[in-house]
This record gives sequence, structure tokens and C-alpha cells, in this order.
Amino acid sequence: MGAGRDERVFVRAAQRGSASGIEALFRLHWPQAHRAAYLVVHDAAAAEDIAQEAFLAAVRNLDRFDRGRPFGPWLHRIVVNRAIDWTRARQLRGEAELVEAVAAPEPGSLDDSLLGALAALPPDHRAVIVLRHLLEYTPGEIAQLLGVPRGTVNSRLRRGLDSLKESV
Amino acid sequence: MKRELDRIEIPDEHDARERSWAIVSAAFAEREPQPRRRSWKPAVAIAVALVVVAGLLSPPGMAVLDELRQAVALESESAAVVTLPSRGRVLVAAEGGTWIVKPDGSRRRLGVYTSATWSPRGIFVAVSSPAGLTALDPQGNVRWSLPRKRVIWPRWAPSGFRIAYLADGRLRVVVGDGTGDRLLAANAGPNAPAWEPAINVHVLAYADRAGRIHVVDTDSGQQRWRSDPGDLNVQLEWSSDGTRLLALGAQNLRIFQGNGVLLRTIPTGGGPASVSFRRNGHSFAFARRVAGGRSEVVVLPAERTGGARSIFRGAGAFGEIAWSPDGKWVLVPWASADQWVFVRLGRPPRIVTESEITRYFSPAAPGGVFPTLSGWCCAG
Repeated sequence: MGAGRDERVFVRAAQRGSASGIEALFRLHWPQAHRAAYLVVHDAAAAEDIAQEAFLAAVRNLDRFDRGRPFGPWLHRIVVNRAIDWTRARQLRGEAELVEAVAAPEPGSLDDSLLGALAALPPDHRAVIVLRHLLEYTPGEIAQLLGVPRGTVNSRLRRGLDSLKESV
Repeated sequence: MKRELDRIEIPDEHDARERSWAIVSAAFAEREPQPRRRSWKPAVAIAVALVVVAGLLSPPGMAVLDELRQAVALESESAAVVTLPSRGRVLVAAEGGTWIVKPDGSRRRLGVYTSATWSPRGIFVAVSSPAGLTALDPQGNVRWSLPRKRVIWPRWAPSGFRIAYLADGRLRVVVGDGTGDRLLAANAGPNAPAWEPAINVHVLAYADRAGRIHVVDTDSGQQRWRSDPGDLNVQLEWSSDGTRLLALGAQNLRIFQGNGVLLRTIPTGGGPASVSFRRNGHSFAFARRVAGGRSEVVVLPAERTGGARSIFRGAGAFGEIAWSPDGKWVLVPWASADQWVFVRLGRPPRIVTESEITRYFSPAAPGGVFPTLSGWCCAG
């Protein structure tokens, strides 16, 4: 049985109220959803929240979900768009805080050179890199997921990869 | 490239997955699955009939129907996931633990604590427990902890640099990073203190055991003013500009100017009551008991005069109310109906309800105590 068929079986089971169905969907998709969020936001707690919120949205909308369509892209669209929004919001906030900032920020693991290079990219460039090279969507699919023209996806991919090559 | 991206280590990856699975599975367990592609009209008719019958038979349901007759727009009533109609995050202290709830219903359990409060921008939470005072990040990770006896009602100063709290019946102040803890007042009454909103000074209001309100600069120790004695159990609430202070007791609500001049005294009528200032201006919401075993929420100005506008009434008791950060909604915890009622001001008011709040926050303690609202903080 293929992965796509597995997924449809899990969605159908979850729609019928099966806990094992939703658990199978969660176990199948959590790792990549969480990782995609982390690679965009570079903050483990925020990535956890974003992936969790995406799954809660899935639970809320399960009854309306069309079983004929794949679950993964729908989930990834939520994850990546929320991750971009979160990153932009953090940049706008500047994370300036008085004593609230006294507590040490999460150290993270930016020692990894690829992760550090990704962090230097704008969030929407990170997103297309993650969608293309982690989740393996085509540029056309990424354009649909992000709601941007395909040419924009291609240019972000090219610029993002050029920056990564220089940094890594 | 994919192999490299897959190899990047995510801190706390395993625990994050299991924490999230616990929340997702709980949300799934609480949802009502709906059959697909079947005749839906009979099911809807039955559901409506059941709701009506349940409403007619149960006292909380009767109360709900009673409120419906007041011609407001009731928008939803769902226990699967408690969502917020506005931005910000709500901090809830329940028997089953202290929770942070986001607008979309995602929530995080911080642990079991006796009281909790947001830091000014919602980046941290200060909590109390029998072991002492603790500062957490919103993920529940402990940033620092201060062992003290019988800690309760921590309150984080708007500057972020101070936290006031009661320990063993005494009012203490500690620096926001957990250092410099010291006694401020040994005669504090059993009430939460309240910081004046200014961020360049640390001015605290508290009530003593005679019901006097003290307003003190906690850094210099200088007392700015002190009121006459009044009610012993007092909720203190500053307006956002620091020019009004409400002192709500069992018998009276006193409205002070920021300099201590008493503007007005309003009888509460006895029974549980609470107040909450709107984010900007001098309007505040006031929940109080009224005749016939009912409660109401009114909005009125913190001035010498000015009428009260009723925005919601219901049977039984209301808990501590709170304005949304954008000042558009008032959250009324309705203990007697086990609901949160969100009232958006307007004519007529718009109302959204969330039901079965006790079970939602304390699933392992059915029939437990209605949760306490500890703050609705900070957009974003």
C-alpha cells in the first residue's frame, strides 16, 4: 500500500472518530512539519507551537477535509505560512525587552553551518528552500502553497541557493 | 541538500512531539465527529431538539436560554476547543494545571500552580506554588525560582524589572530576574497588589489588614498616599494612564484619582464582584451580583459621575472578568453556567460563548472547581 493510500486511510479513519487514525496522521506528518517550521523560524519553541497549531487546525477542520486531496500539502501550507508570519513579526518586534530579556534566550543550535546560513536568508526565501529541498515540492506546487507566482519561487530559490553556497 | 536538512538537530525534538501529541489527541478526543455525505437534516433536527430539551431541563441551560431572550447574537457554543474571539493569550489557573490559551484554541499546560500572572509583554509567566515563586517562559520552562513559604498573587511590574507577591502573609518585591528579594510590608492584607502602569517608576498599590489602600514607591520606600480604612478583601486595578485606581471590596467599589483623591464610592450589593479597566481611557467593566440571585456586567466611567451600561446578565455568579488586549471584548467567566462568555460592546452586544470550561481545563477532575482567569495578555 502506497504512502498516499495510507494517508487516505488514516484521514478516513480519523474522520470516523478513530484515535489511531489521527495518531497515524500525526506520527506520519509531525516530523517534517516540525522540522519545516524550525528551519524557517530557527526557534524550537516557536516551531513546536506552529506545528502544533497546524495539527489543531487539522483536527478542527477534519470533517470538512476532502479525502480526495493529499493531507501533507494542506498541512505544510499552514506550517510554512505561519512560520513566515512568525519570523516577520519577530523581526518587526526587534525582540527588545527590558528585564523580560534578562533571562537568557534559548541558545538554539546555530552552530550548524547550514542552519546558520539559512538563518541569514529572508524568511520567504527560507520557506521556498525548505519546501523545495526538505519537503520536495516542485516550484509549481510551492507557488500554489505560498500563493505567489512561479517565477517568484524560482528567483527566491536561485537567490537562496546562491547565498547558501557562499555561506556553507 | 535534503539529507543535510534532515540531519539538522532540533532542540527538544522528541519531547516537543510528545507534548504536542498530548494536546492534539486531547483536542481530537473532545471533538464531535460528524458523519459525511449522509442526510444531515434529521441529525441537525435531533441535535437542535436535544439542545433545546437540555436547555429547558438544566439550570445553567435555562440561564443560557434566558440570556438568549435578551436578543443578542449568540454565535457559537462549543467545548471541543476553547477559542478566543480576539488576539492575545489567556492565562488560566485550573485544578488540572495552569494553562496558556491562544486565540485558535491551541494551549499549553505549564504545570500545577496556585496563582499566575503575565509579564508585561507576555514573554514570561510568574507562578506561585507551595514551594515558592517561579518565573517560567510560555513553554513552561523554569527561568528562575525563589523558595518562599505560602507564596500567592505574584504581579509583574509594567517595566518588567520588579515582581510583587505575598509570602506567608507579607508583601515582598523581587527584581525581575529573581534577585534582590526584600520585604515591602508586613501588614499587607490578603489581596493581590497592583502596579501603577508607568514603566519608569515602580509604584505599587496594596491594601493593608485594615482595608487601607497604600500607594508606595517600592524603590525609595516613600509612601505617596494612603486611604482611610475600608473593605478588607480588595481587588485593586489601575487605569492604563495611572490616573485612576479602583479598589473593589465586598461592600463598596471606591474610585480614586492617581493622587489618592476619592472620586466616588459605589455599593457592590455584596457577593462576588470584579473589575477590569479597558486598555485605553477610564471606562471599566464591573461584574456584580444583582437581585434574584443573578449577576450582571456593566461598563461605566471611572469619574465622579456617569451612568452604568449593562452589557450582560446571567443567573448565579461570575468570576474575574477581563478585557481583551484590543479593548473590544470583555471575557465574563460564568461559573454557574460553566461557560466563558465573550461580550463585544455594541448595540446590541455581540456574544460568543465557550462551554464546559471546567472539564476542558481539568479533564481528570470532573465536577471540579471552575477555573480562575489570570489575565488576557498581549496581542500576538
